[in-house]
Amino acid sequence: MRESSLMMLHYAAAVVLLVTGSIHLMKNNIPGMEIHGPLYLVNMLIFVSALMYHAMNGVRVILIELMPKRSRAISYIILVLGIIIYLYIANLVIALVR
Amino acid sequence: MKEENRGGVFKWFDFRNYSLERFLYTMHRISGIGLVIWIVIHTIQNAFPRLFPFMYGWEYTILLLILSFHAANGVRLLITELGFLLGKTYRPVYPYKMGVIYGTQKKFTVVILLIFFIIFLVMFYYLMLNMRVIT
Repeated sequence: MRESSLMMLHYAAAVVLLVTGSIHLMKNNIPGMEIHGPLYLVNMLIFVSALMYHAMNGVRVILIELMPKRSRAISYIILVLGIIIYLYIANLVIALVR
Repeated sequence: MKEENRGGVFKWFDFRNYSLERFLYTMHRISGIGLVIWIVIHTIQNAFPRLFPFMYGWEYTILLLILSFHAANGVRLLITELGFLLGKTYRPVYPYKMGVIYGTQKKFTVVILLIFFIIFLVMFYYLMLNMRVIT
C-alpha cells in the first residue's frame, strides 16, 4: 500500500478510536453507566482493531523516520508483530467481555 | 528516503528557533510511545489479574495527561493534515508575510490546548471519584 493510504487509514483509525475509546472509558469509569452484551463486545473489537493499527503504524512511522534505509524490513516486522499481538488482545477481549 | 536521519531522537528535543508546533510534535511522539507502553501494561493487567491487580492511584494522572494530550493534539493534526484552517500560501517575495501556520492556525492551536486541558480535568474528576478522594 502507498504511504499516503496508510496515513489516511491512520487518521481514520484515530477518529474511530475517539468514539469507541470514549465509550470504553465512560463504561468503566462513570458510576451508573451500564453498557453490556454484544453491543459492548462489538465496540471493544472495533476499538482494539483501530487501536492496534494506529499504535503499530505510529511505531512504524517513528522507526522509519529514524532508520530510513531499513523501511521495508521495519514494515514487515511491525506487520507480523502487530497481527500476533492483535490476535492475542482480541482473544482476550472476547474472553473477558462475553 | 534513502538518506540517513542524522538528527535522530535527540533532534526531537532541540526546540531552539522552532515554533510551538515543533514542541507539540515532540510531545505527540512521546505521548504516543507512552500510550503504546500503556497498552502493554493494560493487556498484562487484564490477562493476569491475580499477578497484577487493578489499582486506581495517583500515577493514573500521568496516563490521563498523555491520553488527553495525544487525543486533542491528534485532532489538531488531523484537521491540519486535511488542509483546514491553514493560511493562504504566497510567493516568497519581499516584503515577506507571515507563514501558513500563523493567524487562524495559531488560534486553533491555542483552542486545542485549552480543549486538552478541559478533557484532562474531566477525566481527572472521574479518577478522583473512583479513587474516592471526592464523593
